[in-house]
Amino acid sequence: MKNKDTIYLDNAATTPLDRAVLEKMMPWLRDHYANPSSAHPLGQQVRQAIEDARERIGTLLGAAPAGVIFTSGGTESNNLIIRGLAAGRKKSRIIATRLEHPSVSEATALLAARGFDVVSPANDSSGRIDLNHLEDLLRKEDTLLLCVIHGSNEVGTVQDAAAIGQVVRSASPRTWFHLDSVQSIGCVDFEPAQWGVDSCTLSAHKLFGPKGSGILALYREIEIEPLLAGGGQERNRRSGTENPAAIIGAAEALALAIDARVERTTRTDSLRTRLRDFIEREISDVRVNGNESAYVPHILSVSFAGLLGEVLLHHLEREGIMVSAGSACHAADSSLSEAILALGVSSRLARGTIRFSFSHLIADAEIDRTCTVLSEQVAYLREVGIP
Amino acid sequence: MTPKPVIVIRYSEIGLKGRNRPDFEKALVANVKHALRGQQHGPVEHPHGRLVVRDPADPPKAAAATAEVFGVASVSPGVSVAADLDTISRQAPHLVEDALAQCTGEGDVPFRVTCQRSDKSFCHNSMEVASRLGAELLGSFQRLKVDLKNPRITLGVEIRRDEALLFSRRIEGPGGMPVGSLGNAVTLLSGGIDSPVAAWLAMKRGARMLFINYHSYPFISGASLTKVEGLVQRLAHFQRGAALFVAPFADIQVAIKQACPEPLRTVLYRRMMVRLANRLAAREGALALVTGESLGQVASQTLENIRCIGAVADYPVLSPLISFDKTEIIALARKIGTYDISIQPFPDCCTVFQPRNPRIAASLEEVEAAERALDVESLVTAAFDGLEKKVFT
Repeated sequence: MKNKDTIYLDNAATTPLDRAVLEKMMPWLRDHYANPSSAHPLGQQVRQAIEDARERIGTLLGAAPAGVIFTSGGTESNNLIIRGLAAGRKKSRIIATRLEHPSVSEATALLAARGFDVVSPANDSSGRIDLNHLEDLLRKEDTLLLCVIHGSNEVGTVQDAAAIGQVVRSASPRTWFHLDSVQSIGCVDFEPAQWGVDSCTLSAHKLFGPKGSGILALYREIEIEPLLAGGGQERNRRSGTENPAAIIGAAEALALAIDARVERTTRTDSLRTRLRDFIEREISDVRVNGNESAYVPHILSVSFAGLLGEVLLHHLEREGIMVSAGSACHAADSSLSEAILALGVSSRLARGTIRFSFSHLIADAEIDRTCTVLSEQVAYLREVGIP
Repeated sequence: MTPKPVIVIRYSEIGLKGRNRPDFEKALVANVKHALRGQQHGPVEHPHGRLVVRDPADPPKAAAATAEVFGVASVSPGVSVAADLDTISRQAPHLVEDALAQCTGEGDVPFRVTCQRSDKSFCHNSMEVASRLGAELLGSFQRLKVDLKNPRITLGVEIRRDEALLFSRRIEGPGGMPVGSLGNAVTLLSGGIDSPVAAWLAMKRGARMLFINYHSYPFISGASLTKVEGLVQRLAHFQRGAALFVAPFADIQVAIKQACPEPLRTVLYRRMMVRLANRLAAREGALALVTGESLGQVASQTLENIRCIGAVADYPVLSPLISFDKTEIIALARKIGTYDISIQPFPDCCTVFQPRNPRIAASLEEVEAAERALDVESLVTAAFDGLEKKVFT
């Protein structure tokens, strides 16, 4: 399926591994095989490399090294903070937006089933949450946790983390403010400590790093129950032998992403604008989802009226263009994305949602070819029609 | 001569087939050898009325594999010893001991000895052999009790010119005819539960299957084909490999959707499927089409609609499930091992093409009239030219 004519517009799902990151990882895959928990010098050499990476990441994220926990990815990081925080604490309120990634929404649903009071703040049609409503929901006496997806993985909308932090500090300062920043890191000027964020999640493979490598960064000391019992690694918060290559790859990928942020996002934004402008100009009856002033530039979500997202996806894929869809072919409304519906998009439109996601590596010509193919396929499928 | 393991395979119906018998036996031997591929064993011989697999490395596994071969009536793992009554009587207790180990529970175990001699020059007749062995075994095993009518254990002894075969277990085979002995047919295979079972039943009666599937990519995922491939892989096991032909079907469905009345779509799709199967049968030398139709099960399976669909067939359409209930089909699918594959949640057709209210009883006249809006010939030719073949061993 993948050949030189393939146009990869699914970078919010994952990104290709940067060669420079791979080079940094190789010695830790190939040569330095010792267990970092071993007391001998071979083990200690690996331990030192991991601790150097931890410090580097702490500096990049503005967190103390002791607050940096290495995990298997974004899903584990989100589960660790949500379930680890709730475990052993009394049933209380948890607030999560309606745009959360499943690793948050499913984890909080699990806690709701155990008696936690899980609620969501209202949001506008771009997905930005209503700060007044959030303030009402934040009850000083019993609100344990607030989860906010910083950049929406489905529609790209970026929440105002600084303003949310301020609301939390004034309304319920003891509430833990968790920011899922998997899609936003490397896109926005990232200052979680200044915003009053208590923890954030990131995933290396969304930043041209390796899969299976994530970080949970804590900005306040807190006791959390680990998901895994075992050898007590990561200060007893994440047992299991560390994956040195993945950790070192994550540090390198994050450093590159932050270092080249402006250059990369400028490039990515021009690609997004190019495609968005074409769609708005040339294709009728569409809705560009998300917020046109606060967004991550690598994500463009568009709903095409009268189409099924998965059917359009396969038609684009046949022409070499790889994207994601918001719904499956059976088109039952239950399969529609909660995040898209949360924007108030009608189910007729929501069924035809496609997510294009870009990277700085994409050429203008690839976007131009996407424009041509997209308008042909949309016209063809609209002519065929859906029931 | 030390006892050597053997698998004795009996067949029934092909023994009756007169002049064609050598062909049937040849097909059965080939199918048995195929079922044993990957296992170590010696020659597969076919002395009169039997197949004997010599020296299987894993006799229970070899017996189970051969007991799935069509045309096999029953299978017995056993041993070959010298055709000598003393040797036979020394070996018999070992076989009875094995069989007794399978008989759980308390109380007497009814038992009998049967003896056949193909070498009539053997110095004892069958009755003498059976009664001597029976008496000895009753003396050695207290749980045994002779019961000629309803035995739980039957010690079989077959005496030939230069060996005696002994066995105490019998596994029923599927019966039927050796696959391939009656020629080829094309199964119209969906990803559902029914059509694989229909194919299996037609294979059981000796037909060898080619499979055609109709795939609506890019209206559905290319990954949904893995399910159909899994079904053919499973069915290939029963007939020494199989070929799957995948026909691109989206353009035909689009054309029908755009040009024909919505309630007739399902019947029209299926007529196109039959036309493609006709072409495949002609090219590959097949003599019949096989479908999973069960009368009245869904809208396309009323007598009226079956008639409309069958009207375009150039070959007899065999529908072995026509009178089966869904529960019976599911039970067979489980037995064959296709059920778990069929229920995997890949759609085999996109909802885009399904009519909201399919016609329950279309008339041939209205269906033919609706088809006049299509260029049937070029649609079928284009799909047939796009046929992709995959071979499963």
